[in-house]
Amino acid sequence: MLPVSYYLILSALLFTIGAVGVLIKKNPIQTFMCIELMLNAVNLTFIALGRYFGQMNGQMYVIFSLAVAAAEVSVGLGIIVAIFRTRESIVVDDANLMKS
Amino acid sequence: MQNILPQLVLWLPLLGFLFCAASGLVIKDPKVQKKAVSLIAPGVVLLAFVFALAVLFQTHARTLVPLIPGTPLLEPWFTRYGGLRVDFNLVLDPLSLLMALIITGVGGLIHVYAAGYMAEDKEVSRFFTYFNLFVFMMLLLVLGDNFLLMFVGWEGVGTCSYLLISFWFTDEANAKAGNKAFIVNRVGDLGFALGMMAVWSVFGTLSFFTRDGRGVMDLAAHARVLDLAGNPVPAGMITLICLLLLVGALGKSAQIPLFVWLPDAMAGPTPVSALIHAATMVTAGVVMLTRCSWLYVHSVTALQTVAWVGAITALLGALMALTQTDIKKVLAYSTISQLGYMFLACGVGDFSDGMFHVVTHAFFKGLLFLGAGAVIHSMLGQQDMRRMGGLKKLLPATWGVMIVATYSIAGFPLLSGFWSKDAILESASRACFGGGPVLYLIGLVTAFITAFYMNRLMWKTFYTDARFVNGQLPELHHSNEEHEHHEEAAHGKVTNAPASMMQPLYILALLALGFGWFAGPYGPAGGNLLKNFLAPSVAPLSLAGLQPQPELFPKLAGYLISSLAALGGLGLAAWLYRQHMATGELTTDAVKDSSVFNRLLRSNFGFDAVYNMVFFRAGGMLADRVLWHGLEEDVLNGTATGAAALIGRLSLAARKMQTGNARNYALVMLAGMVTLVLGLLVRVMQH
Repeated sequence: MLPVSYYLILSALLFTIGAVGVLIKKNPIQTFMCIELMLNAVNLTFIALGRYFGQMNGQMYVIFSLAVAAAEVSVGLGIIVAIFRTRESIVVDDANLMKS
Repeated sequence: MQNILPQLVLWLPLLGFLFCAASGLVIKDPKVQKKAVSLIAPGVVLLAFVFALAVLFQTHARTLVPLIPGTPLLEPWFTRYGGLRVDFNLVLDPLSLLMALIITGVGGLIHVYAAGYMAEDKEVSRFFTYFNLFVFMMLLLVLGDNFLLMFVGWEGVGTCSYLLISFWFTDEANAKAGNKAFIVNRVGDLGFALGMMAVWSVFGTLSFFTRDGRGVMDLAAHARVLDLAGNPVPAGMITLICLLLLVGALGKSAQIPLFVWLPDAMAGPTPVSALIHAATMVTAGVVMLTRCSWLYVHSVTALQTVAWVGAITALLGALMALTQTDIKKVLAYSTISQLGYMFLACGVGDFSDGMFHVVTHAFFKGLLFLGAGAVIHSMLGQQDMRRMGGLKKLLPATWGVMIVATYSIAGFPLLSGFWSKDAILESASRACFGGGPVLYLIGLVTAFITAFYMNRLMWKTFYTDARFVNGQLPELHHSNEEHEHHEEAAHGKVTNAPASMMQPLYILALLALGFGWFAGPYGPAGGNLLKNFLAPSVAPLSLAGLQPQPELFPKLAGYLISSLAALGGLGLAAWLYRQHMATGELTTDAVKDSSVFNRLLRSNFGFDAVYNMVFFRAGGMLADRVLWHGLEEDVLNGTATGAAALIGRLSLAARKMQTGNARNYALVMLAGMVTLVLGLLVRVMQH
């Protein structure tokens, strides 16, 4: 059996890729995919550590996390559609009304 | 029944006030409204007088000692607010009954007179609204059984005085005079309020009398004064209370140094001057001193202060009256001077003779004002004595009552003023704290000056040659040379006052003639009626172990000396003015202006100038330079705008953080999260 550190390192790598993706991508769809990647990296640690400690908690949190992610995506896509309807563009940097 | 009559006395004027105030809503026709108001307003006051008389006779028939102090009226009023308990109680003792009789009696007569005097005014109902409210407040002042209730009346009469002085407020001078009276009285009222608080903190109660003997005056009616808890009250505290209350009395009764408002108060209609600024309100200070006589006899310092203030005011007031040319202002300064006599009486511990003078003064000074009002009314509003003269032929009835009042105030033998003034002079000469001869001399000189300036007023107004043509000063009138030809026309202008205005004058003249004898030492029923009547309400000097000094000379010699002073003053004025029949002036204006003494008198001994300098100039400077430009603009405004500017600068820097770029926010979030995780890691490593 692989030691738990392998899983954790993989998860950290995936999370970093996701985080960097969120920061550099201008297309919100791609941003979403990166967020999903970060979420799943976390899910992976949950499962690996749950297994490592021999507890069910980790797997339970993953179920929660999946449900939250689904909800988040549906809301986020709705926002993206709304933005596209008003501004005819979904480039993240174009939506900068908060600028001082 | 016993309790209902005094209540009616109090509430009737309030009802009248409510009716007058609401009359415009109820009665649409202004003429009918005017008529109804000028019937009802005097009516309620006269009715109240009838009830007050009924109270007098009822109690007189029932008991020899007239009334038990402390007749509860209503349920507790201010119940136990932080330990303070003030009941809406009325005290019905000889003092309050006497004052109620004067207020409703003289007040009723003046109401009747005012109905005639104000008949041509557009705002009769407003006038009588204030007038009735004043009567109610004054009754509350004298009938209230505690300091707070007295204070309510005290402030109430002050308000009515303000409203009535500035009754014709479209003239700015009148409005200013009202303000002056109100503001100067604030100083006195502050003293009264502080005195009241001192009473509360020392005695633990504000009531004058209670049935179980636990009021302030009940407690003070012993040789050793104890407070409610039974601890002895230090003498210094009593002196402090007395002096603070005295400040209140100085303001209300226009004594030095707070007298400056009274001469200006003559801006009001003449019935107001008669009722408020001669007969009743200005005597409130004397009434308060008499009510608190139980406290004052315990403090020689306070008594001494009262006596000297009174004596000096009497003298200076009389001197200032000498140079006045406005007929009402002469009377105003005369009132100040006479109030000084009353204070002098109270100061030497002879409170009942002080009240005697209050009563006789109400009669003769009310009469003088009403007579002066009749003159002014006949002269179509002219108040300057330099434009009068020769009115004896034209207004014989007014002259008749004025001469009675003048001789009475001057102390002509056997008239009212003679008896009360002489009683005061005798008491002053025997002042228990020494200095009696000086006080007596001041009083005597004042009596001489009083006789002089009063006869000066009579000569200028009634005897000297007429100096008006159609109400114009001769030198202003283009046809001055043809004076004789215009005499008929001029006389046509001077109209006699209507009968309704004259009747109250006759009644007052009768009282000014005979009341002094009736109530004085040689009156009916063994004499000293008023003194014996008042005795239960007034503290004797012996309470605190004080004794009057022996007499300077026998009583008869005293009477003779004061008669000579009065006759001398009257005679001197007559002799001098007889030589100047044409002008009515003893000297020319140039001589007057070059005389330092004359200028000093005309400028009120500089009191007004000093107050102007200290309070208007210096106070204005303080407000303008320090408070406005300094404190408000620099300090307060500076702090506020400075704080706003600082926050503005800071937020300018903070604004830069808001780029509006979602990916920047995400980076900051990530950085924050990394910091958190790193921090956690460090914590974990340390363990």
